[in-house]
Amino acid sequence: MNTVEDKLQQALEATASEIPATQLPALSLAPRAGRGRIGGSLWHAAIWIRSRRGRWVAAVAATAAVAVVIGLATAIGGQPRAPRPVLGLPVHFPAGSHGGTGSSMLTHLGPATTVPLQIAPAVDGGAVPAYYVVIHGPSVEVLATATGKVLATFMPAAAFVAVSGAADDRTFVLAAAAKGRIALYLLRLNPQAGTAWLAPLRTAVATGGSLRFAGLAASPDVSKIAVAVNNSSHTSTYGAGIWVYDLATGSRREWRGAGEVSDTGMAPGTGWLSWAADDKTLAFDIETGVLEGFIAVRLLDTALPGTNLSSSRVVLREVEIRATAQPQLESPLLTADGSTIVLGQCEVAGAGGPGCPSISGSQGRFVPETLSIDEYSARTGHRIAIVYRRRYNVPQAQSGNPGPPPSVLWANASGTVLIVSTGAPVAGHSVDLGIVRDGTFTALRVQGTALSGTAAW
Amino acid sequence: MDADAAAARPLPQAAIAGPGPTDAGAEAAVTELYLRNALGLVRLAHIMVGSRELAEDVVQDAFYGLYQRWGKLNDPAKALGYVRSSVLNGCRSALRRRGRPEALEPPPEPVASAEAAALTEHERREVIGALRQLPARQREALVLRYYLGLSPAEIGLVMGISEGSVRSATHRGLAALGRILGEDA
Repeated sequence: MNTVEDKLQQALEATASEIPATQLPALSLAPRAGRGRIGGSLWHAAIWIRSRRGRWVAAVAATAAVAVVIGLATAIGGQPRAPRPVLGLPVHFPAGSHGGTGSSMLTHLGPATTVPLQIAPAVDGGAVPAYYVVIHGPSVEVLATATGKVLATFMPAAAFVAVSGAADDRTFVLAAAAKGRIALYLLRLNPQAGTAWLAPLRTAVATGGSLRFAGLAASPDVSKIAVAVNNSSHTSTYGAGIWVYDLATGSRREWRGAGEVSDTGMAPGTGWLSWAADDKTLAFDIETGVLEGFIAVRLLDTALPGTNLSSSRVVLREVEIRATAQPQLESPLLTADGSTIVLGQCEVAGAGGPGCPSISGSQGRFVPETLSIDEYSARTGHRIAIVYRRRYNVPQAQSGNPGPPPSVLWANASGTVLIVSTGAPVAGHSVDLGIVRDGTFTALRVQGTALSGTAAW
Repeated sequence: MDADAAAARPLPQAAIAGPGPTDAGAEAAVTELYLRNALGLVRLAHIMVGSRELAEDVVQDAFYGLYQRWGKLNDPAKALGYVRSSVLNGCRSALRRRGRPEALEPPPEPVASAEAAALTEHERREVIGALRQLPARQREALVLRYYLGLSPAEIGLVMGISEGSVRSATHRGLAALGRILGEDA
């Protein structure tokens, strides 16, 4: 009993013997309540193809909106602060102008900048938001979904880094990097009056040290704003966090994930956040089990007590998705009815590793690459539909430099209609923006040759 | 949009598949596999998660998953490997949901089991505690090697990693264990 191996072997056997051989439960092969996708990562999930009269129920709520943040991670100085009382100006939206959005809660605004706004044409009979906001260089632009035309432009003296849309197609929340904090702004569209205004919220996100702002999402009624923060330090016990601000009170709730010092800790995700219409359920992606390194999509019930991010539920993990090939998870978005998560993936045949890149081989040959938008059950994590699929033959000469995987930028309440961006992994092709419905991609016009910047519907 | 957009289309209905096994003999086959292997797998899961109840749930779910996918299993001989992988995945998931393995329950009295006659309860707890401090990959490689007695190739199949990675994880795990226990591996 001198070597570590001997001790380990005996300790394992002794621990195993705590389970008596005679007391095992009988095998149950019936589905049981709460049975989740614990195992089975090596096998493909069954796939259903969407049927318009299939099992999907009608939309039960207004749309959820999500921001796409392209290649953005902004380090902000300063230290996290405790919630503070909010003093601000009362705001009263014109009655009935926004379909019941909980704007009465937005009572904490600074002085607003107002600009003229042109009216956007309806899209798909109103089934798709008519407006979207793009952070484009130093400007914040309001565009028409149908035409790509710029309808209003703000030139604020702030470095905007993220934007998220509410469910009413009229309200957006923006984040701007400021000294030692992230400043939050509210942008409101009033087509009837022909104006749009942008005003700072008195609630700010105080990050600092090694904490980095990663993304934000306004709840559908803009009563709450969720912010993802990550810790760039590999030695901190604070790996990642979700901060939820209540705009009625200015209070902040915080959920923390252990850092990389723990093998079950959490490391920076990509900052994708989305709310269900219940204003309680928040989806986010994060790297968990950091010593293994994979992205997990989790659901956090913000109505429950607690401060530990690990109390959130893992819906699906990148490794489980990868089991089908080597796809790369992108832009997971929880639909407003809370039933499904739609996300983009790409798969490269014969790729040596996970994700779109890693194409290798002799030049002059072509490798098939598939971009897809897939739908997963938020309850079980199983893939339940391929919403859209597009195949390319990628020249191997582009090894290591493929196009971006498709991103889901907006989804209706049940995920049956999406706005996506999809970039062809072929030289000379730009990012296409379009609406996906019934497996068909319909391109939307964009300004110039390509969509660029950070956008939200 | 380029010409490739024309290729975008819904998949044919032939791709539709429902849940559940298609093989009428699936239940008998999975049940037999359970009867033969459940004890070892529950013990394996118990080592990993430190909770008997959770270990039993993990194993039940692994077999349920196998039952659901039995019709897609090309080689029934690989079923045990699949279940082992599922159990490991389930343990990882359970630990992530819970955060850490449960602390070992305090021993009733310093009376070791027959298997651990040469190891005091204090030493056992120390070794298992050290094992649970290791990264998941190292921990799993060590348990599969020193509890199930699998070869590096078999471990690689279960964990979905190369044989070289298994050797590396095992070596590093033993070294780390030695450091934690204050001994040379």
